[in-house]
Amino acid sequence: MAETPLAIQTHNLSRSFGGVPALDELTLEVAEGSFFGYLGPNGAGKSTTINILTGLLAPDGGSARVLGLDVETQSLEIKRRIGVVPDGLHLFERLSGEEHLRFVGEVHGLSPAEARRRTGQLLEAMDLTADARKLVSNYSHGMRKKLALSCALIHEPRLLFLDEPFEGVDAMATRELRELLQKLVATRRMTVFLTSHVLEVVERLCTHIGIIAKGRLAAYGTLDELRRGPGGAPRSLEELFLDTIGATREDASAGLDWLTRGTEPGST
Amino acid sequence: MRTLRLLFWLRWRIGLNTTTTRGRVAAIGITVLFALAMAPIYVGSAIGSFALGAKMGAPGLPIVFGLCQLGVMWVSLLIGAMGRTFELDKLKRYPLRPRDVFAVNTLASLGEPVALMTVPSLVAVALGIARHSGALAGWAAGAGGLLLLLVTASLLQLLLALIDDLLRREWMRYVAAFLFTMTMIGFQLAVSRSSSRMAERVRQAGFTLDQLLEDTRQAFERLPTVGAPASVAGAHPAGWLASPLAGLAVSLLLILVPLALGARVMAKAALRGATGGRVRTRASGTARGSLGPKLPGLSRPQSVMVTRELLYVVRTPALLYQLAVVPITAVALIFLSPARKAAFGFMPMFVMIGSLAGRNLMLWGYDGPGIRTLFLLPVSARELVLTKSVGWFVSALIEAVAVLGTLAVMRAAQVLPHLAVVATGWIALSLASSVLGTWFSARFPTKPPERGLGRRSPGGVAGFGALLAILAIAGALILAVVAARALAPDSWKETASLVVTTLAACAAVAVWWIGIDRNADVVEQNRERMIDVLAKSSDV
Repeated sequence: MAETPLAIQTHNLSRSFGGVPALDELTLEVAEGSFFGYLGPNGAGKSTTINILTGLLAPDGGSARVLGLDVETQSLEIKRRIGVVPDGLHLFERLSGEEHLRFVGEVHGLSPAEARRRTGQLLEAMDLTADARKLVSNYSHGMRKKLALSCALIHEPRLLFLDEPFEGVDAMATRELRELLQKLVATRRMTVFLTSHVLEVVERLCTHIGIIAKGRLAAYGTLDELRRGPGGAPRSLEELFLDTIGATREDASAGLDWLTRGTEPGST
Repeated sequence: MRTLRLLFWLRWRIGLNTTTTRGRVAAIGITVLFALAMAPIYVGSAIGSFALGAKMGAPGLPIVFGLCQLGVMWVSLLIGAMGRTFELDKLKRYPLRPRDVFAVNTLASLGEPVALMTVPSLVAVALGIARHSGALAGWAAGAGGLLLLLVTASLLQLLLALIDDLLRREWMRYVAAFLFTMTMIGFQLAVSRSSSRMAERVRQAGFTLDQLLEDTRQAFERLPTVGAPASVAGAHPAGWLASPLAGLAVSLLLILVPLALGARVMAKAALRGATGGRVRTRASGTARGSLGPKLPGLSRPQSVMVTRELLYVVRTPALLYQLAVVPITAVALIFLSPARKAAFGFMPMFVMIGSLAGRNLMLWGYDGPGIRTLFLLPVSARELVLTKSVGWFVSALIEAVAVLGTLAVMRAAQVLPHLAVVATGWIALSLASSVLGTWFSARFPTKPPERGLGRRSPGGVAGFGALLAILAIAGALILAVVAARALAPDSWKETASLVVTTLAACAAVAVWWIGIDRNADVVEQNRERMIDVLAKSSDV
């Protein structure tokens, strides 16, 4: 597994909901300064992992450390050092974009002047300056993503959790965000923990990959290691992903004849 | 009918899927408890209605109909007792006609407690009339009662649609909060004026019950919303509504016009989207300063958290309405109450205590999806509870300053000697209310309606219990003051009262301080549930 120093370390981490396990003794290590892609099908446990690591959920069993701090006993210290773009965003709808950023900055201990300065710069970088005084409730999905990312960055976190950050973001903004994230990892040695269903983006950005299925880590390693298939033959990340989770469904549209059959001209 | 059946099925399934058997049993229990607690009102009204029907026959109907409609309207406007069961916003992706949804909402609102509480009176008056004039007249009175409820519900639903539409326009939120508060006060003013006039006439002419009933009947039968259904029921009101056919036509108009108008307004509002817009620069703080001022005793991050709470109060229509309605109502009552006779402004104080008891029970609810971001911030649960409490206390203080300030200015001679007692009593109550409200809203997180003015109390077993608890504390404090005054010699009565309220305030400060830690534990324990309940959008 990854070498020290570790940004994230979990050992037999478990969590279930209503008796159904979402995480099943997950053991994972993410090295500091890495761009870690955390993949898995829907319901595999990706968001649950992030929620436990960011202090929103308590684990049922096992242990987890983030930046060397215990998630159960030192969650406040962890929150000071991390930035999170959660799935679903969940922003303060009745603050303006500018107020939201300044609020998050000041709550993280920045001086009012510094929070204001960084707010202006982040809004400019995210192309949100013109909408800075609009209420968040009026923002489009893409604008919300950019604002959430700005909130996650304003206090210079050492570790960034990004849960589906590119979902619903246009191609141009995606490219800008991608370049920004790459720069952060390269220049500031920031660790990024990213979940995404867009495998192309993960393939371009991530240095390390973990694939989770049914709450367990099914594959883990550097991107290059994992892309070497059985016998050393190269394979794409999509092939790796499908091989790992055992996606062998036949024709999903079988039984939907009424929907897929051709329509006779003139028929209703 | 298809829409009706499908929507009620949807509501039924969602209800079943989101509650436990224990919760349902508890809900039935609280319904029975509530029904018993309110029994003196509706059983008493029913007895009176039966007696009236048996004595006057159908001509007495406008009195019962008028009082029922007045009761439903007044309670609905004052405390938001009648809501919308289905929001078109959530249903607009389906091929449903807004008119159908509006009609379903109108029918569903007949099941609201405030509407159901009028049913015993309407049934009783029909039975009384049956005894007076025969079964056929009784059935006609019953049909008229149903028509009255439909007319009332239609008009209220139209009003709700208009309010909702207004509140979706950024600048109108402020105007709407003011206008509807004024509507409610105007309503009370009209009732107060006409009853004063009636009382004056009664006093001059010599009081007789018959005279009073006759005056009331004449006043109500002039109102088309009462006179028309009463005409259908055989009351033969004076004027153009005397014919039952005319009554039926007007009743149908009073149902169908709100239906057409309300559906139109609702459809337009659903396309308008959520409230939003730009925020004035001043609200964002000074050019170089913080988002908000640093409050004494709080750190800068804590002060910023309190600022966020206050910004939310001003920018959330339901919270703004709740903040505005109590002081304006209380102040209006001070001006309206027949002088200056009501020693000490009992009604304004009662309104204020009611507000303290109900407004605190959804403290976390209005954070909505933002609750998750709150828990991601580097602040402890204790700080969250502290800043939430301070934010709430500030809004309660604004309310109190407006009410007590007006009382002190308008009735200086009566109020000023007792101001210290009232102020210390208020501190005790508001702090107790803060502790209980924080505990309740964390332990039983409730998502307020996403549209409209919203209800003040989340209801349910615990909601009702929490409401009663604060009212009980207020009652106990008042009793303690009364007891102290009774025991103390005349010259020491005021001092004895002040000692009692000061002791209560000191005890409340201690409870509040300890309660912050205790409630922080409750927030920690219920964090997942709070996120689960509040961050999700409602289904329909």
